[in-house]
Amino acid sequence: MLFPKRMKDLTILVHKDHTQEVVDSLQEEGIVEIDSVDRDEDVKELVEEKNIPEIITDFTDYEMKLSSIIDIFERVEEEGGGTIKDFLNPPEPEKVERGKTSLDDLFEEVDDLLEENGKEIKKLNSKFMEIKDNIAELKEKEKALKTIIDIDIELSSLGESSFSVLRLGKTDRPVELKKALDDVDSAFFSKTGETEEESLILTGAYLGEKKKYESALREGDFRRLRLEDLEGDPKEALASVKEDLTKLEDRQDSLVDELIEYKDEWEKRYRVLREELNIYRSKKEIVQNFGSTKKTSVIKAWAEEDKVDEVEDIVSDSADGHAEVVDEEPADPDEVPISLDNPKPIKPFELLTKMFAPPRYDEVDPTVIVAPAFVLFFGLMLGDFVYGLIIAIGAVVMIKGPGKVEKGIKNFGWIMFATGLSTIFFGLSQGGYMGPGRDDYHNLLGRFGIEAPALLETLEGDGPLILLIISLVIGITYINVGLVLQLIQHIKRKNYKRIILENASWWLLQPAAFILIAPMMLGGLTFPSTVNYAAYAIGAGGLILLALRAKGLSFFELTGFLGDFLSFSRILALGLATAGIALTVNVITDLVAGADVGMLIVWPLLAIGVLVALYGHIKKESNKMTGIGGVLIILGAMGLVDPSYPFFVLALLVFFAGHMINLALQGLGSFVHSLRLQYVEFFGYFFEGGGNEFEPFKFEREHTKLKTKEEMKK
Amino acid sequence: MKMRSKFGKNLLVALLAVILVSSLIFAAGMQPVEAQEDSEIAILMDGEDVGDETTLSLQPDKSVRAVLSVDLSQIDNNITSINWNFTEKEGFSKNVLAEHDAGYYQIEVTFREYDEYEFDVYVEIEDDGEYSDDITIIVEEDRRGMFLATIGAGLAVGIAGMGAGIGVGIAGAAGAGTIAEKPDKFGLSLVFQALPQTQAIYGLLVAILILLFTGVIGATGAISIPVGIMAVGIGLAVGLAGLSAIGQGISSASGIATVAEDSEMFGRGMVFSVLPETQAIYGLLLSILLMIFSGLLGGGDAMAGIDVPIGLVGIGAGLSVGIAGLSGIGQGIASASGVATVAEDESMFGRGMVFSVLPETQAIYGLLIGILLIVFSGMMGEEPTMTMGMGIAAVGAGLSIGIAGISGIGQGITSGSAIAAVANREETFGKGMIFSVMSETFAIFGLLVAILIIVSLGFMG
Repeated sequence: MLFPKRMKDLTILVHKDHTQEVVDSLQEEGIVEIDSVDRDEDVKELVEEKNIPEIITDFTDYEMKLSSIIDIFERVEEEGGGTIKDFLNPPEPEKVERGKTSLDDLFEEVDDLLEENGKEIKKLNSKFMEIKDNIAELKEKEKALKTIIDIDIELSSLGESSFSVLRLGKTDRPVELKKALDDVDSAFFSKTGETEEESLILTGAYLGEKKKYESALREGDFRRLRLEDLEGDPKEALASVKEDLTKLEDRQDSLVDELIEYKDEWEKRYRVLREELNIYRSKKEIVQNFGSTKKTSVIKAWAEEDKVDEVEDIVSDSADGHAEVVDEEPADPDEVPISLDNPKPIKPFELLTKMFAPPRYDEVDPTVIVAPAFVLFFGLMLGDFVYGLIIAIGAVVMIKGPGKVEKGIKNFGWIMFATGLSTIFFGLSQGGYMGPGRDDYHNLLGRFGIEAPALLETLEGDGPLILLIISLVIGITYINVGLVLQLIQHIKRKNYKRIILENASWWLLQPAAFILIAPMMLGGLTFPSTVNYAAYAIGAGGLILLALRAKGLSFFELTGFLGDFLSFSRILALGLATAGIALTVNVITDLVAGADVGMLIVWPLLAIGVLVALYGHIKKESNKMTGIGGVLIILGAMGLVDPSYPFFVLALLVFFAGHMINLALQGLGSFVHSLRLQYVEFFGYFFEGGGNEFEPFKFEREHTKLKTKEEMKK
Repeated sequence: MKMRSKFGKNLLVALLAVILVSSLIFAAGMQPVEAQEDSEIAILMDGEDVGDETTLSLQPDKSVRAVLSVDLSQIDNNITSINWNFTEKEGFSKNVLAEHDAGYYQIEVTFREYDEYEFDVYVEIEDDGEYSDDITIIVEEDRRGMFLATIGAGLAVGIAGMGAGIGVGIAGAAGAGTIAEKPDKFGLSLVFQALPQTQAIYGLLVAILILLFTGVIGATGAISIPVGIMAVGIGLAVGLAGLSAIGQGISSASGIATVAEDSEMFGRGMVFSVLPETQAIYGLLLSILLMIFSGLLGGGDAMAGIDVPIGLVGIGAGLSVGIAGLSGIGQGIASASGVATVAEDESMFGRGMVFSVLPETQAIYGLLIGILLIVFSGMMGEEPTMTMGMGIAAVGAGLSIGIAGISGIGQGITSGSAIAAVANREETFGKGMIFSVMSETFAIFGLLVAILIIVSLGFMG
């Protein structure tokens, strides 16, 4: 638990005829990490040649063909619309059973599949992309037409004719444009419309002067509206564009439906074949690492110590006895891959340790201590029953939903769940239910008249002081846990000298400091003079050891330690901040709810509501506007019944929005600060990290499942 | 030209609004001047003619005294009798100071309860008749400190808001630049931009707590001038420390830029970006400690013990943590470098953090002095005894360590550079540390002077 798993350095010798089977079985079991033969000097000497793999460009070829179709399927799914529901509850991919296929057979399967429907799918897709572009173009035209809807002009006359060129466009510098056009003899300039920011200009010139004319247009910042291929005046053109657009969109929808049909039927098969290809490829690639003699393949691998027997069995079975596995103790701890050894409830927290760095082989794995500490700090900092409940529920949704498919999300979900429970617990003890319980500004329970008792009121009486003391006690304890881990590490590495210089000095200084300084801070505490003298003595001892270790930087070591200690006061500060901000939200809620403006608010509400709704209705574009107007009217109507109702609704809004924001902000803060306490104030004493993670030779099958040996024999 | 006319329009509107609002305030503030009645005799309070009615502020558990006298200097003829008339109430007692044959004309009155007290005096003058005067003395809760408390609240939310605004702006600029290249990073950028906002929330929190407990919002209560002074210190603590948001903006900006290139850096970028928040947290912590020990957060009883020197200690502590909070800018600079380095070289995470938190030491010194001031001023106990001189000395100590704490900015610049150096060449770790720690020596000078002040002025028992 406290250290990464013991590993063994394996050398596997297999007769060349059986190498392939051994590779297959090792990949299926996935318990060894294979790396290059070059890493072991002794072995390197013995082998003659490295295995050169067959050329695998074919793999890339076939894989690309499959991937291009799979990409089309994925894009179509996006168009069809993935929903939040899909994200929250993704279906687990079904695993298709496969037997062992030879590579040539596999290639043949791919060819057959592509012949059957590959071409059709590609054709549909390119039609789809074309229509998409056309729709985009039409939408541009629609936008442009809307801005000139009132202009009376025949659009087909725009553009170039035999003698003239006519353009319609916009500029925000009409004066400059006019001046520039004045230099072109045949040009004319007509302002057909104007808004605050830009002017709509109709302009033209003799075709012969086109070059001069166009450079004048550029000078004037003229932005042309490309509407030449339309007919009729803008109103008619807009109607016809809209018609075309609808037609194209319908066509697009039907194409999407067709593609989705193909997808539903064939996507699985494509993915299965692609996975098989990738499995094959990984097997071919791994062989690059092997060394060989005339008849033997030589494999260098790593395995966990308690799995070595299993490895021997697998190798011996698949090679039919024509193999030998040699296991040795690793020579150099820096080389050994790291596999962490933690019980199941702690395992998700390895995420947190690894985010800093995976431990080295001979280093302490702090995860088993970080896990409960992190959860404890988080709970203290956030300390609210309802917030914790929300987090816990969210975590469950995460684990049961997206966590089914992605392991990372699942682990994070478990961490969240644990922190949620901790928050619930401390919320109960601090009396926080969306804010502290107070007589004047009620939290969630208070609004229903329920008074919940609390062990420790965060914002009243002695509460904050006690919480501060608890935080500091936790701090000094945790730092000393760090020192203990440092001690364990030194013992393991046999750095006995450092034990005296580091651990001893801190464990002498701390009691000395306490005995000498505490009476000054805590009134009634005095120690007999013998104790004081003893304190001076051990304090001096500690300082000497410190000076021996750090020399010039000794003072900074002391301030560093003090800083680490005081840093834990942030547990109190953040706990108070959560409660305080929740209280503030409650204060503002009550202020809004109690606002007494009388009927003064009702008439303006109704008036504005009606105006906004009418505006939205007339403009015909904005359902949003009509909706907002409707809401305002309803609020105003409620106000007619009782002038405090709209404020009540508003207060409700403030209450929920405020607490959600507080939860988000403080949740994030508690997470990061709890983490930072681990990384800076705890790890600093014993943890360096820098190990390489154990990556077993394995292929995570998503879409396929290998038939067992018995099934294959059938 | 269009720009100017729009600007001019807006200016005009703003001007009109200002004029309108100020005239409203002015009109509201004007009150009709009361006509003064002329009397032959007048009751003077502490030697001055205060009119018919006056108020006295009474602090809880204390008493307030005044000297009432009749001005007889204007009278030439003989005085035959002087009679005082007042209701005997529990809340006050009197003590005769000066007597006359005709009666006493100067008394000292001591009030112990909130109430209205009426005094009439009748003077009979030979051949002239009887003259009288009366005075009503209203004794009420001492709320003179309220205006100071509101200043404290304003400082808290104002300065913190300034820091947050600048910090969020810096981060937002990085965000805007990022989405120009990679629009899909909008969400992540927004999360980073939210980080410097927390300082403003802390400032708002403290402001509202101050307003709440001083009776501007909701319940009323006594608040004396010393408590008001304390509130200014509370506001300074969290407000000035909120300027660390500028540093957090710098590191968040770096976080955004890094995440744009490599979304995997989100977690680590977050951890670095949150480092400069420590200063603000210390500011908040000290604000809350001051609120507790001044009795603001909890009950009026503790407030009785607060006198002006203790209030000044509050200001000293607030300055100590607050100004030192500017070291957050240094920490932001170093963290920004940390994020960028870790993006290139994952193994630098630990060492990057070690360097990034170096500028935090100044903030710790500030917090330490703040706490020492609180502890040794006797605020925590029942009967603090401090002289005015000690109070001002406390302000001096706070300034000493606070302003020296700004050296954290220099330390941040060095640390940021050291991180990059170590990423390049591992052996430079030790020497990089030495460079980085140099700036801290000046903060240590400040710390030393602050401690000397605390010790030599007899703070410690």
